[in-house]
Amino acid sequence: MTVTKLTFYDRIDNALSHPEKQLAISAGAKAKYINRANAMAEFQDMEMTRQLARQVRANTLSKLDLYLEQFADNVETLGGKIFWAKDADECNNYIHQLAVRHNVKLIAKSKSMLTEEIDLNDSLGHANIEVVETDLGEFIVQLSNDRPSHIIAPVLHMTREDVGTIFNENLNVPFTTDPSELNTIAREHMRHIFLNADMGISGVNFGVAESGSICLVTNEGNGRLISTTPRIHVAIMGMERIVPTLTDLNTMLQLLARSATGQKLTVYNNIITGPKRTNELDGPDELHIIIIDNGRSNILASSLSEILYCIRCGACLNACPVFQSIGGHAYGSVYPGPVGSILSPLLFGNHFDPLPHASSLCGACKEVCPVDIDLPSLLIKLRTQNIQKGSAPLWMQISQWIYAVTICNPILFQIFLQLAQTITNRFSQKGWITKLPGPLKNWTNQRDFPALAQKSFRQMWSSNKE
Amino acid sequence: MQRNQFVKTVRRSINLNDLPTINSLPIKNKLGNITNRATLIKQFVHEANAVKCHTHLVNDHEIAMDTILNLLSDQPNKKYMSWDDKWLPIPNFNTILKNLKYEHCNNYIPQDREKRQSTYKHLEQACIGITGCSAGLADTGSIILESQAGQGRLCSLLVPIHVALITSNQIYPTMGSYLSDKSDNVTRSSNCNIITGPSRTSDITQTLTLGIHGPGTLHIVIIDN
Ligand code: SF4
Repeated sequence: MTVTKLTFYDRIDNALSHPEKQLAISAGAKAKYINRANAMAEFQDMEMTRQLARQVRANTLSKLDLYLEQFADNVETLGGKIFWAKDADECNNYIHQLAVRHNVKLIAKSKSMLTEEIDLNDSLGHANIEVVETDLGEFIVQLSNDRPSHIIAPVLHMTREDVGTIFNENLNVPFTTDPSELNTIAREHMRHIFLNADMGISGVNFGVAESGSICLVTNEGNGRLISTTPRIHVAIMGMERIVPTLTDLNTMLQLLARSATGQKLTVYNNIITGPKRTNELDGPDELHIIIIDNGRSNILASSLSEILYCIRCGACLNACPVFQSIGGHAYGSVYPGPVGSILSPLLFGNHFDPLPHASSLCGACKEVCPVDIDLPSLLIKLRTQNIQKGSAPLWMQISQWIYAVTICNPILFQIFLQLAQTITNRFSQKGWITKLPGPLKNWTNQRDFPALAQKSFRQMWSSNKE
Repeated sequence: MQRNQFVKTVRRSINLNDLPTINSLPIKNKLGNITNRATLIKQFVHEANAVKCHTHLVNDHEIAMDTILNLLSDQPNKKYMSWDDKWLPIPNFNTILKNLKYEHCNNYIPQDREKRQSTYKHLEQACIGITGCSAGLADTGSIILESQAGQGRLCSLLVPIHVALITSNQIYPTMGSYLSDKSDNVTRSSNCNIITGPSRTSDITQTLTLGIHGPGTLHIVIIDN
């Protein structure tokens, strides 16, 4: 993934300086949050299914090696090809070579965060192969040279006017802000791509070990088209995306739809079991499934492996008050929000170490997660690691050190307490501080800070004794 | 990377981490209650309408045929795509349409690149795609389609209007109940689709619009005799 040079704080400032985007994001995220809540409320066995899903994920990861082999055996028996990619380069090279071998000029692609993670489009673009994103949101992102701001809704940050302008400038069509007209423009433009593409590329929502099937989930139908009309279908799967059986797949699909968009089921749950068979009418002649590691085995070996349960539903993004305020771009990673704050430093390195600190640990993410990942605990673990390896900001390390020394020493503790009492009481009105000086004013811009009590517990205790 | 090397790395990670192995899953998937057929049909129709399908509940295949002829007569041309008669619950379906001068677009897709693209060009003109179903799911209003010989995928994909025919005895309460009965059917062809409503998107400011890439209109004709 290409990493920006801006620091996290710069990116946040950037995000906060665009109020119209901020409004679009918070409205969109909240609408999705409510849709999910409604869909879950009428789901009778919600909590039971959620715990079942969690068990399925835990079980799969604890025997992932066996399931991967079973999956690969089944795919190969069906005539599909499996390629094992250690990292982004191995994966991109394989696709590049495949494309060259088959003289592929045009590739139709369905939405996949994994391909963003490995910068597939750039790598193929350098080789002069045209790649067209076919998911409406991703298509808009591609036309405007932007980046997706949400793992489910890539243009959450855009207004209708933005989209109208982008289509008007890039597709030679009259300006409109009507979503259904914009929809028709995209449909007509994309037809030609679907019917002329030589290769279709998709991600994989789930791979089913017992049958060697892959499941692609889309509402638009582009996942079906790119896996049907081109002669070659390439599917790229993160190695953790396995479920053991079709029954487990069903459990996941029920939860995924409700968590992601509030639907009972996504429109197209497309289950692909091998390439087109001899007597079938249509479908791709070749199916290549690339299983990619790209840092996942390191996560699996760590104490943060629980994050690999994730099924990329995006619910934790919508629920997160931080995401609602700063939007996806500020995270600077293809994976934003709570899940991204954990995945990004693990997958993409130190540059993303500040992300786990951008959370109030309110727990809304854990509450909505369909596989009940304990996201707040993982965030705390990462914060601890940051302090231990010294990559937390200097002021934080110093203040933590002062705190550690003070809390261990009763006399120092007394002195600091007295000091804090005097200072906060000077700034406070009726027990609340509404304005703090210097950099601290960022805090009081948004809310009031409670002053320390006039008398501490120790003081009350000793005066009572007398 | 070699397969055994890849898998070895994964195995090493698992051992380092000491993840708990959960062998038996104490919680089981619920299969849904097999209520009586009338209730099941009612629920199926209700849920399918809720996801913006057009449902037609008819008593026999003749009325079903009339319903389809009605839909066909509204179209700008006489071209259509469909599954083979063998897979449709209306006997001699394609012969009837042929006698009425409707043109069946053959959706066998050749390997050769040029031929392939000219076939797509031809198929693109079809106004309606007509298919049967392997099953319907009452709790979500979904239909399940396979892609065996004679069951082209494109019939439910390339056309603006998809008409699916289903008989009432094909309706299951939930996906769980279908899988426990017929899970082999899901994987006996290269493609099985669980379809819930017409193609849609809410990408632009969360506003729902229908028919982005797949069919924007989905009719389900339920034959209950
Ligand atoms: S962490 Fe949970 S809520 Fe967040 S995207 Fe993954 S599965 Fe969804």
